Amino acid sequence: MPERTAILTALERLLFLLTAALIPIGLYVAFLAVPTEEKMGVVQRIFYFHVPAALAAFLGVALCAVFSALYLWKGDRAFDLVAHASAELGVLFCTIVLITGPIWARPVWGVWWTGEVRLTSTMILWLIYVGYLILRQNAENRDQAARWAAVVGIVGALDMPIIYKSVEWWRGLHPKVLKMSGGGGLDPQMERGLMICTASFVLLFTYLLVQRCRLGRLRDEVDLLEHLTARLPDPPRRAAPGGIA
Amino acid sequence: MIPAIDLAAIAPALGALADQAVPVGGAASSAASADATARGLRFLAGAYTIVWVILAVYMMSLSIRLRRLARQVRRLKERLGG
Amino acid sequence: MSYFRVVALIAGKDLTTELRSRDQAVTLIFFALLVLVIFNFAFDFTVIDFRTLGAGILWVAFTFSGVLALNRSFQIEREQDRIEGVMLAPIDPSAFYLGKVIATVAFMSVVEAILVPVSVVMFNVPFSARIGWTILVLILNTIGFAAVGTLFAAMTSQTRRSEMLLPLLLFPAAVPIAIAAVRTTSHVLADRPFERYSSWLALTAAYDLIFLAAAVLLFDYALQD
Repeated sequence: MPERTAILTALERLLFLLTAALIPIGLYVAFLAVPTEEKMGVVQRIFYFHVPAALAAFLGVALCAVFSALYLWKGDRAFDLVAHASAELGVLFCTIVLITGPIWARPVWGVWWTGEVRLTSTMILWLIYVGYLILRQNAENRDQAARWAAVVGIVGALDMPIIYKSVEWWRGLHPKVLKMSGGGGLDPQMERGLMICTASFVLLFTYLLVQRCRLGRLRDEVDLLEHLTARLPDPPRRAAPGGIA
Repeated sequence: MIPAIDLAAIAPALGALADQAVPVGGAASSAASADATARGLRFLAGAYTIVWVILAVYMMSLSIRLRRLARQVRRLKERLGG
Repeated sequence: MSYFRVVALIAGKDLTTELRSRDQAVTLIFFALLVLVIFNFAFDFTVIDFRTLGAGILWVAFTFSGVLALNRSFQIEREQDRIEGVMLAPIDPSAFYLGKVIATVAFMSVVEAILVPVSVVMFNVPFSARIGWTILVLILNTIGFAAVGTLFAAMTSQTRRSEMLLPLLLFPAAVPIAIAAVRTTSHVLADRPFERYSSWLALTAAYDLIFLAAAVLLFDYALQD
């Protein structure tokens, strides 16, 4: 229905505008508006994209699990599209977390990798969902890829709390010398800054999700169309005048 | 299986480093604190750059693939329709 | 045929095949021993006490040979084209799954039963552990590993890169088992009181239950062609 597509396009445009607006605001807040943290100095500002990226990554994982379950239950390929897109974005934002974490840690604590609970669990999460993406590539066909990925997506999400707990108990044996969190709970300005940056990242995630889903849908459409054109007879050859057709 | 860094063992060294990174009241020389801030800024800028490079590369790759696929769809539809 | 009879049948089939030829068990044990030997050369055990690293080394050996066992477990099904038979037969795919888990746990237990005494000898460790608790700890952790491993192996065995894909998926997912297994095994081998590792054992048991249940529900999707 034309009205429906018109509404959807309008919503998409709105999403794009909101994202495009909020990102510079978030940047301004993170770099200028928020006060510098006392102990860690300027470097602590990485927190304002490290934490939102982590939240975006978890959002991706959660969405993947939910839509994987929906796909297995209902069989509608649209659910698998969203699951795949969410997983891919989850890996993307997870990568950002894993890169900004050590960059933050190095000047503050002198080591690149602190073995901190959250970062270690995030690394394992990254490995699981990279595995998800690689498994999809290795399946024989689209349906098998979707089914297998759904299994991994669900198992991965179920596993996350257990992984977190086990790493926490393991690391808890050492004195809690290092804590990655800081700033957020203490200063109300920092808290607000964090919320704004989180909102901008979530919007960015949503915008990218929509685009990535469109990509998946187009791919499916191409597959279908190629399948149909393969069945077409060859275009008739042009016969010589008066010759055999 | 994940290598454990013995934090307890290096804690004193880390503490010294952390103290270095922090301008402590008025006691530290302004040169040292400016140095620390400069270093912090370098890391901050580095992190910021990497994050946006990653996002930009991903967004560009999405847009390139989207355009390519849209072209393919148009072409295939023409073949079927025509 | 009752559900549990099917489970017993599947497990029994794998085990009796193995009893006749014994080739898989030998390969697994030998491979695990090789891992131990490599670690023997990797670290200087005149300086390091085996007891600090021992549980970790043992579980590296167990998980590596466990991956072999899992791959092989589905490879023989493919070789004999039995997977289609299983899917066509009116049996619950989850019964097939449980049977496979039991068989894998059995194979891994044999490896473990041999490797623990061998490591005691090879690394000159005074052995004071209580056998009952040791067996419980080893079996609970093996079940967890086999539960998720069998689910993933059902999928990866259908791909061309199965040897790479199974570890890639399984090791991160089995991290809680890896951590808990090394902790509990280390405590139990040193004959430390139960309170020291009871919470880890509870974590392992919870992991086992959660993923056995999840796999029972999901196995059908993993197995479909």
